[in-house]
Amino acid sequence: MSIDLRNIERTTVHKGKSFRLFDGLNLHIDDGERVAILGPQKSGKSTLLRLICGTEEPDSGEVSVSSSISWPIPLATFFLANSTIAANGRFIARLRGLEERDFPRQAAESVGLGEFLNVKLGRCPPYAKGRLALALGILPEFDFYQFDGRMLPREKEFQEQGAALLEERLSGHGYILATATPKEAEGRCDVVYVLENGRATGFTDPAAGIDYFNEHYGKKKPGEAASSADAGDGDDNAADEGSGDIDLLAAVVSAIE
Amino acid sequence: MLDQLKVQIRVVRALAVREFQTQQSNLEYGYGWVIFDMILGMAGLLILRLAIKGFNRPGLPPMTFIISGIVPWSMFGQMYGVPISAVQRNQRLLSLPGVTPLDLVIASSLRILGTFALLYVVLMSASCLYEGVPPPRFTFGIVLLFLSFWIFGLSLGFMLMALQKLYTPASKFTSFFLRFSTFFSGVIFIVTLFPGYIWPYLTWNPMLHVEELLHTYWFRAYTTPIGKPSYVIECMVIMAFFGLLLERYCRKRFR
Repeated sequence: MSIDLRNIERTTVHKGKSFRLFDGLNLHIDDGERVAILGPQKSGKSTLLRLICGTEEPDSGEVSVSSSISWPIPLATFFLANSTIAANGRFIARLRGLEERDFPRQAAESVGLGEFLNVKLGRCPPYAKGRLALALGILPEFDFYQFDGRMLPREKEFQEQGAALLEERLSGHGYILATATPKEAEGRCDVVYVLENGRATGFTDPAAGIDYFNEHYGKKKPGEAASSADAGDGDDNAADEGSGDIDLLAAVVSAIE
Repeated sequence: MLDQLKVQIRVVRALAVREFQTQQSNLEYGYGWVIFDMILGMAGLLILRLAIKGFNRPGLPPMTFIISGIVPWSMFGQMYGVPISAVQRNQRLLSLPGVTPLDLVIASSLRILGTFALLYVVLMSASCLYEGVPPPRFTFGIVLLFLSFWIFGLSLGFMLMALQKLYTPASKFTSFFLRFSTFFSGVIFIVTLFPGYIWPYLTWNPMLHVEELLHTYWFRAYTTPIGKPSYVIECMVIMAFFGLLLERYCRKRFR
């Protein structure tokens, strides 16, 4: 079981301009491997995950996947705010052919949302969406799990419980973490790929890969974001939707104070 | 192949259940509004038909006649919009592996089929009791014709989707044409109310055959002079073939 991407070409349109996102990209991931894909903003990390799980197709090249692969976690685009946590969980259970009655409860309890099981998602505390997105992504059985941006939601109170859940669920499984934050990958991966100029450079020594990324992309250089484009980069992660705006707002407020 | 089919059935089932659950879910009494919408539409046509009472064929109960034709026609009317609207509305579900645009369309069309089938049974039962209409002549035929509205609507929807993708303003003309065709498809007026010299032009329309056959299977007092089941089957197969072909073409061409 492995994931093999050969000579992938992909063009995308961003703000009316066409960009070559991948230009002969090659990537090979073996069964059970823990991989980090590091790339600056708009370098195509999320697109790459979507190509791997088959929800997008390349313009040319071959994507060969002989393993079952999760969607990029924490995907929350399928959530219905008007439905309860249980109903949202049942949708995934039906989709994956899991036990409809037990799965939603198991998912909710695994991330400390058991008491909100029959509460509409829109009326749950703000942290519920991020936690539920993690639980619904990580509880179904896959050979590989994909993480887009970060592995755990940002809230501090959940870090310990979340880490324990990750450890339990990911043991014996491979995973792919696509992120622009090298800290996320530290100590968690066997191999690091750095996405640049439409290609992926592999580092079997993760520390070397992280150093390389920090050296080249650690500090934002002027015009860097505009040099490459991925219209969909990270935009699927509705569980964290707006968190960047909140951070920005907090910075503005503290600056005014 | 069998495994893939099993997965697709599982995905369509999950999406169809979700479709039923979310129908009008933003309104209080959610699903109840579906019946309200239908009754409102039907009342309008009933008023129209009663206002032109002189065109009624004796022996056909007015309310039951209208309901027998208008409910499947309304389903057909909603169905041809499904290939475009289902994908637009549920675009975000395509981020889930295994979910394809065709699954979204099938799930949405099943929701419409289920809803209208339920409405048909409820409204026809009530209307038959109220007007004292005897049981239908050929119930199985009615079921098959009802399903044919579903297939015709979906096939036409795929064709219109392709047309709209090639030429966006096409929707302006198609919606006018389809509204106009309500009057010439046997929904309100049976074919014998039209002068004989225009029959050769009207009978090209497969939906007229379907409606005429539907009325024949329902009412003992009416036997269609034009409805041909073989023509309905031919048209349905051809339209379904071209519809799916165009859907595949559009999926590849406009991804």
